[in-house]
Parts: sequence; C-alpha cells; structure tokens
Amino acid sequence: MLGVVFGTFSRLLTIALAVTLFCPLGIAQDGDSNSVFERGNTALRKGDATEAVRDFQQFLKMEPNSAEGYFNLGLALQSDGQLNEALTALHKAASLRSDMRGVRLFTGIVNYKLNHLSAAHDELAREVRLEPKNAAGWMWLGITELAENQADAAAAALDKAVALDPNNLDILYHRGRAHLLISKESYSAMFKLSPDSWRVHEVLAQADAQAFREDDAIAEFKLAIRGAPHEPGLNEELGDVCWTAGKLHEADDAYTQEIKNDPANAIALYKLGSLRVTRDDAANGVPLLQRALALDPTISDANYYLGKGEAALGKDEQAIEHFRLATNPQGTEELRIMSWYQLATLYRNLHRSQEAGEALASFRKMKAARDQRQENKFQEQGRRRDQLPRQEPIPATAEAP
Amino acid sequence: MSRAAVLLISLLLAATSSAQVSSASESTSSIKTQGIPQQESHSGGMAAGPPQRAEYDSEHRPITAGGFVKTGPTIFMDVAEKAGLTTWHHTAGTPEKHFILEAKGAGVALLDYDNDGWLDIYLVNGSTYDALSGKATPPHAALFHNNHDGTFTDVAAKAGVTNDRWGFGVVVGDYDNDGWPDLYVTNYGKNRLYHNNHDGTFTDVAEKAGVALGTWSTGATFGDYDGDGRLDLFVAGYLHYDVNDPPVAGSKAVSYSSCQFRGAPVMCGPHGLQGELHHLFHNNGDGTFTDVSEKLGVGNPDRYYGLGALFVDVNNDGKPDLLVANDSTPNYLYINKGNGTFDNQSYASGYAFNGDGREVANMGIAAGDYENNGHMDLVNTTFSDDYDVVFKNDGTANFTDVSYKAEIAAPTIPFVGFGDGFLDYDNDGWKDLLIANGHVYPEVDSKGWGTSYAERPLLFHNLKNGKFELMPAVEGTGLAVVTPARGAAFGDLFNDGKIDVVINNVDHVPVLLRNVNPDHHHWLELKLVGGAKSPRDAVGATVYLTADGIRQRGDVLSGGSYLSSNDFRVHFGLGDATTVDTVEIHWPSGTVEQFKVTAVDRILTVEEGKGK
Repeated sequence: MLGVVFGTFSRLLTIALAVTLFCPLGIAQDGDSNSVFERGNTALRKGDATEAVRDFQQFLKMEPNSAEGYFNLGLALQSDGQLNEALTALHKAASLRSDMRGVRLFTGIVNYKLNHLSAAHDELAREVRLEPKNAAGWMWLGITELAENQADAAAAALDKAVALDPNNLDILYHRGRAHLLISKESYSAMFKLSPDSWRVHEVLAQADAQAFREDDAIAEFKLAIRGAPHEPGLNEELGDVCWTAGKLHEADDAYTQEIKNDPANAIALYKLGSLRVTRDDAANGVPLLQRALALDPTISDANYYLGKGEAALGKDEQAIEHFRLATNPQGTEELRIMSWYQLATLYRNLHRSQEAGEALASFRKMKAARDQRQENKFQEQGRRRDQLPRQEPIPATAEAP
Repeated sequence: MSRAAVLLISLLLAATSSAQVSSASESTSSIKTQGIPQQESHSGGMAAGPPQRAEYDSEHRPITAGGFVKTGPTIFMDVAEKAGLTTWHHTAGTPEKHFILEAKGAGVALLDYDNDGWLDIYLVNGSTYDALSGKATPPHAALFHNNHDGTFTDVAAKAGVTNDRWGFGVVVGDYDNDGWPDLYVTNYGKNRLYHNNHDGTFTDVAEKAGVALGTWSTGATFGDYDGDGRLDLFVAGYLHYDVNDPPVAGSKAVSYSSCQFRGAPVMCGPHGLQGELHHLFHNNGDGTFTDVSEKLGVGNPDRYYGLGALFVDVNNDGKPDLLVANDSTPNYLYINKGNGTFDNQSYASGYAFNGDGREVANMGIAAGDYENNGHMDLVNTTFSDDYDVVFKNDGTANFTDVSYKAEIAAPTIPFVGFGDGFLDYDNDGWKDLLIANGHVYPEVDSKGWGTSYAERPLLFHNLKNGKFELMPAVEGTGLAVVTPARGAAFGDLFNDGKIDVVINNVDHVPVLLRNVNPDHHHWLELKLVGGAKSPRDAVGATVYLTADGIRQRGDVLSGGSYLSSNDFRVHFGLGDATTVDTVEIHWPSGTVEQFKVTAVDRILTVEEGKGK
C-alpha cells in the first residue's frame, strides 16, 4: 500500500519540487560546480536517480556546505531507493538551512516510506505549520495519519488539502479513504455497543441492498422497523428494496407506512405514486404525485409519472401539461427523453399531427445526443481496453476458420 | 459477527454516494434517495434493457427453465418424437457459440407442398465451419411430408430442398401463381428460391430469378405491394459478416463493450457491427424479380439489424404494409401508399420503440386482432431484461404499447423471445398468444442470473378484455418443454381444427406442440384461392367472420413469427356457435365477397369470385 501511495506521485512531486525549488536560487557557485549541479538536476528530471546521486555527491565535494546540494542529494537518494541515506542528506540540509522550503516535507515523506510514522508525522506537522497553504504537505500528513489509524485527524488534514487543491485526484482519493475509515469505525462501534439495535439492522440492510441481496436487506429492514416502528425513512428504504426485488405489493405497503410516519415526506409520496402508476393503478397514484409536487415542486421527475397516470385516466390535457413540465432541464435526462416520447404518443392519439411531429423531433434529437454520448463512452472504453493485453484466443474447439 | 463484518465492508465498498439526507424530516437516521429504485444502464450484449432481478422457482431453477406445476390443464403435448421429427437435428457452428452467426437459429414453415390437403413441415438447418469450407458434409434442411396418420417423413433430399447452406429463414408463397406453393430460404450466403415442380420436387431458381443475394439474410415475406396480382418478396438483412474474419472482442473492429453481457465476455454483436441491407424484390411476372428497395426507400439505410419481417395490412386500406423487426434497433413500419410506394411511418406510428421510447432487441412478429375489433395488433418478441411488446393498433396504424396493461410484459422479462404467433388454441373465438423462447448465450447457465439457455414456451390465454393470462407450465406437457427455441410456425397439422405449433431449436431436435386442449368448441378454416387479379394463394387477403355476435378478423400472411411461415388457411374458433352469420373476404384485388356458412367444424376452400 505504501509503495502504491509513494510510487508515481512521489516521483513526480520530487522532480517538480527539485526544479521549482532550486533552479531560480542563483547559488553562488563557480562555473564547474554550477554545471555539475545542473547536470544532477537534469538527471533527476530524466529519472536517472543513480546518475543524479553521483552528480550531487560530486557537487558537494566542491560545495560541502550547500544546503541545496544536500537537499537535492536527498531527493536523488530517495528516488534511488536509498532511503536511510536520503534521510541523512535531508537532515544535513535542514541543519545547514533550517528555513529551507520543502525539506521537512521530504523528510516526512522519506520517514513515512521507512515506516517511521511518528517521525514522519512530526516533520509533516511542522511543514504545514510553516507552510499552511501547501496542499502536498496536508496530503502527506493525512496519509501518515491514515497509516497511524487516526482516521479523524487524517480526514481533517485531507479536507484542508482538498480545500487548497480541489482538483487533485490523489488528494481526493486519500480523503475518500479517510472518510470511509471513519464510517467503518462508526459502524463497528455501533455493532459492539448494541449488535441488535435497529440502527445496526438498518446498516446491515443498507449493506445487503447495496450488494443486491434484496431478500436479506428486506429482512434486516423489517428487523430495524420492529425496533423503531415510527422512525422516518426506514419504511421508505424498505420500499425501495422491495421495488428493486420486484415485490411491488410489499413496496406499496412500505411506502404507505412511511407516509403515515412522515406525512411530509415528498419523496415517499413520489415513489408510492410512481409505483402505483406503473402498476396500472393510476387512480390511486395520481393524487399522491400531486401531493408530492405540492410539497416539493422541485421533484421534476414526478411530473413524468403524473403525466403517465393522467394519460391512463384519459385526462389527456393534464397529461400533456405534466409531460411538458417533465421535459424541464431539472429532470433526469432519461425521463425528459421519455416525456417527449409520451408527448408525441399523446398528440398522435389526439390527431394533433404537428405537435406530435415536434415532440417526436425533440425526442429523437435528445435521444440521438444521448446515444452518441454513450457510444463515445463505449468507444473510449474500448480504446482504453485496447491498451490491455489481448483476450485469450478462441479455443481450438471453436473450429473457426 | 463475521457476517456483519462482511456486510459492513460491502457497504463501505459500495460507497453510497448518491444517498441524501432527508430535508423533509427532522430525523437524520435514514437515507432517502431522490430517484425511484430503477436501474438505467442496459445489460450489454444483445440486451437493450437494464439487468433485472434473477427469478427462481421453489426448486431454485431459473424461472425460464422451471416454474412447473404438477397439475393443471393439458393444452399442448410435444409429439415430435412420435411424429418422426426427431430424426432431424438442427446444427449451427459449435455449442459454445463463440460467434453470432451460430446463435440466431433458424425458422420453420408449414405448407402443403404437394396439395394433398395436409400441412407439411419445412425446417431450416444451420451449418458448420467445416461444411462451409468443404471439409464436411453440411447439415440438411428437412421437408417432412405429412403421412396423414400423425407421422411425417423427411423427403427433403428427394424434393431437392436440403439447402446445404447456412440457413436462417423460410417463407412460403406461390410467386408464379401456378397453384403450388414455392419456398424461399434465406442463408448466410446465397439464398434459395425453390420453385415447386408440382411433382413433389423443387428447383432452385434464385439466381435466375435475381433473388439470390449472397449476404446474411434473415426474415423474408411475400406480399403483393403494388396490387398487380403477383407476390413480391422482401428479404431482411442482419449483419455484414465475414466468416473468415469474425468479430473478436477487443479487435480493431469490435470493442469489448460489444462483446459483453452483464459484464461477462460473450460473442460479439450485433452492437458494434454493421447492419446488412434489406431488399424488396418486385415480381416481374416472368419468373424474375427486380430489386426496388433503394428506389422505394426500404433498403435499410440506417443499417439496422433486421430479423422478423411481415407484409400485413395495418391501416385497413386493403394494401399490405411492411413490418421489419430489427434487433437492438428501431423497428420499421412502411405504410403502403397504394401507388406502389411506401411511407416510412416507423417513428410516427409508435412501432419503432417500446412505450418508453426505447429500442429493444426485436426478434419475431405476431400479427393478429386479439381484441376482435378489426384492427391488426402486433407482438414483438425481445431479449431478456425487456418485456415482449404488445402494440395495440387503433386501426389507423397508430400503435400503443399496452404490454403491461395486457399483462404480457412481466412474465416475459426473464425470457429471450423468438418465434411468436396468435392462435385461438381453445377455439373460443379470441386469439391467444404463444411465444417460443431460448437464450443466445450458453454462458447464462453458469452465471446465476435467473435465466437459462434452454427455456420453456409461454402461452397466454386471451381473457376477452384486453388482458391475457399466462397458462401454467404443467409438468409433462408441451408448455414444460425446455429448449433453445428460435423459429415457430403455427397451423392445423392434423386437420382437426386445432392449431399446433412447430418449433425449430438451435442445435437440437424440433418440438411439435400438438394442441390437445380438451375443449369442444367449434371451428372453421378457410383455404382461399385468389382470382386473376389476386395472388393465387390469396396472400394479403383479410377475412372477417361473424358468429355468435363476435366479429373476428383473420389474414392470409406469408412470413412473420421468427424467420418462419405459418399455415395459409385462416382459422377461426367459434366457441359454441354452430353457424356462421357472415364471412366477408377482402381479396387482395380489392374485391369483397360475403356469404353465410351453415356447417362448421370443417375446412372450406373458397375461390375468389365464386362466392364460396
């Protein structure tokens, strides 16, 4: 794991920092030593750490008190896998110039790589105190704290790193790990405290649902509900799993109970209404969808099911109005596309040819755009997979020509 | 403890990122999601719908190969062995089905090739790679002659119709109006037009007639689209396919995504491969045909993957319209304008997509007036994870997907449907529906997806209110027979007034579902003979029969189902009626004749212009 963390990222970071930290320093060195230093930097940039080590060692023979020389030697040594030697060089650099930018960061990183977590933590904590806007410093501090099983502290450090560099994939990845660890610790603590509490059953149910073990999820949700029969949200989750499992009658019961527990739950009203409309029970689905939209008009997708329900009840004009609302850009793309199709169908059935044609054209345009995006995505996936080793050849039994 | 730990970890791995905390409730205890619990992405491979939940019976068999009951009505019995059909075996490539060419199976036709009054059976065969390259004897098609005693004899070799190419579809039509049914067989490679020599033999005249093609043809249908009294021929194309360079996953030509089903590697296609052209051949009346597909705009410029095809009048103007069921792409509906041209109404009619506006993997087409309102409704079979689509027709070729309302949708979702047809199995005067099923990926048997390679047929009984009821798969009966079905043809093989079904199964012996339903309802069958201005076999004729207050519609159709061709005789169940008030025949020529029938439970031959 540490190797993975350290691998590509640290190499790039090393080179980048080496270049940015020391090229513009204008070190007072004679012509020969300067060219040797530059040679070392060039070798480091090219990834030839062994050559860079030789160059910086040669440079230090000429400039034995150069903090920069020791710093770069430290970077080259760590790139070359000589971690203890790198640490010695970085310490020497720090002793020569205690305010040197980056030295504590890399000392921390090398300590981390050596599994000297406490020392790494100290160095990185000092680094972020000195350089509070250094996202890399916060990230490495968070990584070290993760390794120390300090999930809360790691999450705090990585949150700061994200705030400073929100588009850094590495930072986002480690931050995600930290928060997952916190969740895991929370759930484990819950289980230890009260293995039969309704909250534990709820978490187990959610886990089962996520893993598509719907029957287990339903059982766990029912246990959770037995423990907390009036808890808002539980029945809605049960309804969701039942719906996914195709147990539509049970889903209906669960949503109904949810609405009894939490009459202001617009989402549950929307789900129950949609379920009833799709179950060919528009008469009982439509009022629920109307209530859901009255409570929360932003549930744009509810308009689609309301339109379906009204169309089923023969209320074509109301259906048209709601399908039109469902084409609102706030709705999900799939339902917007389908709404245009339903509009085309309704207009056609009403012999409103021009409007039918327009709706069909909108449908086809949106669908074509969506399909093209999906095709591009597939093509891109294919291109990426083309870079993988080829699939096993067809066995001889295929007798293909 | 360990189970809990596993579950907790799986929860963490699943990372419920889409979850949101309720704003409507003060409680923060439960997660509430905005979306309704439905999946959006499709399963991949030939599937168009999102993966559906695995469904098993009480013995943990996939519902597609289980769900049997011990007692219930005996409606069909598989009598293929007793009838002598199991001496023949379909073969297509290898059982592993590495390539799509091997998976699509073949059709079956019911025809009275020797005009003895009894239906015979033509079963198309596939082939093998060794046969294609001349290293092995090719599998032969079968022509089972009806011995009139419940048995059949394969006379294909003697009749000269063994095909010996990699066959897919078959359609029947008397293209030269000589009173003897001819056969058109579609292949990977050149097709056959078997002209009936009137002596129990046929001669392949496809090259001479100009209808041989040489690509991958699938569904075909005869119909007189221009009203000149001669049958024209439409031939759907599936894929542009090179057997010497078959599609392989991850190759330059085919991405991995075209070769996966539910994440598992399977044969490639049709997604990602190029569709083949469709062809409409105009009958010149001199034994030759002219390809008019491009001129008339029916040549598949979109390069969709054509399978089922059928000429049928869907807007009640007496002119045959053209339907093409396209695999994984929108269907075509070409409305016959009555002047020898077509209007592409695929999208505007509602037939291109299912009711959600989504294209599905269409295979077969059943056409029938299941509501007895005079309108030709359609049912397209589709891939698993999608429902088979019931297209209700308002009589003007305006179709509405009523699959759920008709209660066809849900039971069909786990199945891969191929051949289908309307049939009044209990002769109660209302058309029922039978669907032959079978998966295309042998891999499904080892995946636990709740589906199976070999599947059972589904029979839906018409409840006379726009809804259907799935009939139980009673153990030991034909509805519990599990095979990898493809083509299915419907007809009265035993001249007993009951519609039977022959199913061609991939890499398997055929199934003959003999209708043994113990009803005592009456029936009438009409064999129509066209006059000088209609095709002789009356393809395209529509019959309206009124008895006991019910007005039924029956059509003489060539093609449909999946790459198959049904009995040309129009069958009507009469319930308890012992007389027929009126029979009204709308001949392809435009002539309408009406008469009464006082004797039922028989097969009547009606010649155009002779009243009866």
